[in-house]
Amino acid sequence: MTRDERIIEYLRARGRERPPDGFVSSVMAAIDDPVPSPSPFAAWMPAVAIAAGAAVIAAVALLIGEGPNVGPGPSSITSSPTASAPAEPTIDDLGVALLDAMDVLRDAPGVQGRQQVEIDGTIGSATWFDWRPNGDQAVVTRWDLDVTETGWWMQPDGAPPATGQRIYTNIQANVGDEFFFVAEGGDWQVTARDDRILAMGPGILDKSILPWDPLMGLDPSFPDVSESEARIERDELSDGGVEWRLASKLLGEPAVQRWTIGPGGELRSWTFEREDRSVDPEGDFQANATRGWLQYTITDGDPIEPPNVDAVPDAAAVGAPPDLPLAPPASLEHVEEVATCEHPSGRYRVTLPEGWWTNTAFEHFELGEVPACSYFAPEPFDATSSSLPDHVFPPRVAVTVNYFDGGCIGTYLEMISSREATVDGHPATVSEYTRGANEDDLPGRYEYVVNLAPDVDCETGGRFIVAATDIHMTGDYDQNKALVDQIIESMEVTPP
Amino acid sequence: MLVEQHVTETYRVAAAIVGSADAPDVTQETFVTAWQELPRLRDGGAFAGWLRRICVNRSRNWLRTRGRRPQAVLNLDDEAAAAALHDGRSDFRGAAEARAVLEPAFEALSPDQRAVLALHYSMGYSIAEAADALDIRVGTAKSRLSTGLAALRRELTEPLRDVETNEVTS
Repeated sequence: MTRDERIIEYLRARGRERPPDGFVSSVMAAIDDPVPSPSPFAAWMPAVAIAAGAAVIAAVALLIGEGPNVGPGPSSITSSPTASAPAEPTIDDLGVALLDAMDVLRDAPGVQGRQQVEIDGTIGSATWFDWRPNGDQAVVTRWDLDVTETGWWMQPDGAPPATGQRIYTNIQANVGDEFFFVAEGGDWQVTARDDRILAMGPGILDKSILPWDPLMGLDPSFPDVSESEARIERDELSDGGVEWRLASKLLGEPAVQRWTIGPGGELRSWTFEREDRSVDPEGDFQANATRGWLQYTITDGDPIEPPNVDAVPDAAAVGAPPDLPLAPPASLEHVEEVATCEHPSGRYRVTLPEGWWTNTAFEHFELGEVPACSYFAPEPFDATSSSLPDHVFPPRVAVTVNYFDGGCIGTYLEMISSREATVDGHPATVSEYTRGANEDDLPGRYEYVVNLAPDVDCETGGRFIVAATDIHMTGDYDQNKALVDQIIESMEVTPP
Repeated sequence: MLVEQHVTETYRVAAAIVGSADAPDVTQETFVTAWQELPRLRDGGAFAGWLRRICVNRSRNWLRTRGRRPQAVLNLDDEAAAAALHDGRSDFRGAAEARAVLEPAFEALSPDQRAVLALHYSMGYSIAEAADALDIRVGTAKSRLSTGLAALRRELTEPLRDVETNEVTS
């Protein structure tokens, strides 16, 4: 049994546990009397504490998943406080006020939202959404992967390694019974609305106020939340609205949240800020954010139109405003439309299908030197947007070909089929693997491994060309398989 | 009855993420939460997925808030285990050794890594399904799978090149 097989077997064994006898009765008893049974539920926080915690975490939890969006932030409290309310407000008062304000949004003909999150002024994510009470919605979220995923904030005076280079954009729309989304490869996909997780919940509006959902409980990213230290203030605004402020500590440092409620009782904005921050090394970008904001605008609720799935997907297709920040780079550098290309090692030369593009050699900030003739696509693509470990190929790429000099070739995927072949006179193995590690998984990867040194121990002198497509690449998987075959048929191999 | 219908699957998800010792508590929390929140579920047909997400969130929160509890790791010094290791059943020995090494390694992973490994490998969900249950992007799920597996691989000694993670770097 190989190392990976042992790992997979161990993980599978973890999923074979069965509940003990009588467990259903125990669960039923817990449901009937959920409050303080001695063990598991003793630690549940009372409602007030949940509200306090939820209020504090609102700051960051918004950023999770598809939140709302961008633009000029709502520092933007357009009205100024006038006089403090006489009675000292409590966390419960704040909770009730916000729940009521959210209900006003839910009853509106339509709501647009914007959200932005940042650390020390560097924007990590931005979201825009448009929501209707019938569940129709459009959501555009962008992340700057270098800002949100590289952990730079954990270094003293750290700065992200790059900004604006790897912008990931997620575009989704629910219209009627259909769910439109842009797949990882960059194409529009359409599926039944009920098939998607977005359609399972109440939608983006409630999702954007998820921090108040008791399902979230107390976000453990904020272990220092202390109800006793929280200070709540309520001010009436000159336009008839209300501003609530919650001052508390997050990770030991002061943090302030502000909510504004419009004169119509609608939730208008939320802002979270903290300055002298401590770093939570266990936390992600959201948990360490220094500022986030969210603002809602009630609209007339004009119908949301389905996007044109024949067009190149972009945020504007679902109505997102042009000032949504974190615009994806539109670089076409390092790609070319050619009839043939050759790997710089000289080990292979291939003929591309007509109208196909490949990459030229370039230096990638994360991957290092990326050799020419590695990525193939039926349209231009941004060669620089690949990254590890999320993607080993850029979006819109349909086939990859790589040359390996040294070492063996293996994978943790389950093999579905394999056959021997010859590629330009060299022995090769053509294999298809599952999408994951489960035998009953669907096909997910198709590859040729051409062995250029069959008489040598691969551990010390293996040399291989690997041409492959997989389910995560752009286009139809079966068509891409045929294109791999086509590229392989054209391959001229020069052994070392 | 909803509990009877879903308890085994829910328990398995919890056990895969937090371990069998804590799975009963997490499963109970999951059902209590679901029961309390059920009126807010607007699509009854989505109950299974909704319950799964609650369970995953409860499991992750459990790991984060309760810390990592000592689990029943097979002790190779244990007399019975030692006897078993020498009875010639090589498969058992391999599995026992792997478990002894992998159990603490798995528990040392972050809650997010544990969750995605458990959903994909232990429960057999596709990466997309696991990503849905975790409410993360597929790319993020793949990243966590990759880093989680890499951490487990480091605990075992057999070398193996992995096409998925070395493709472009050669």
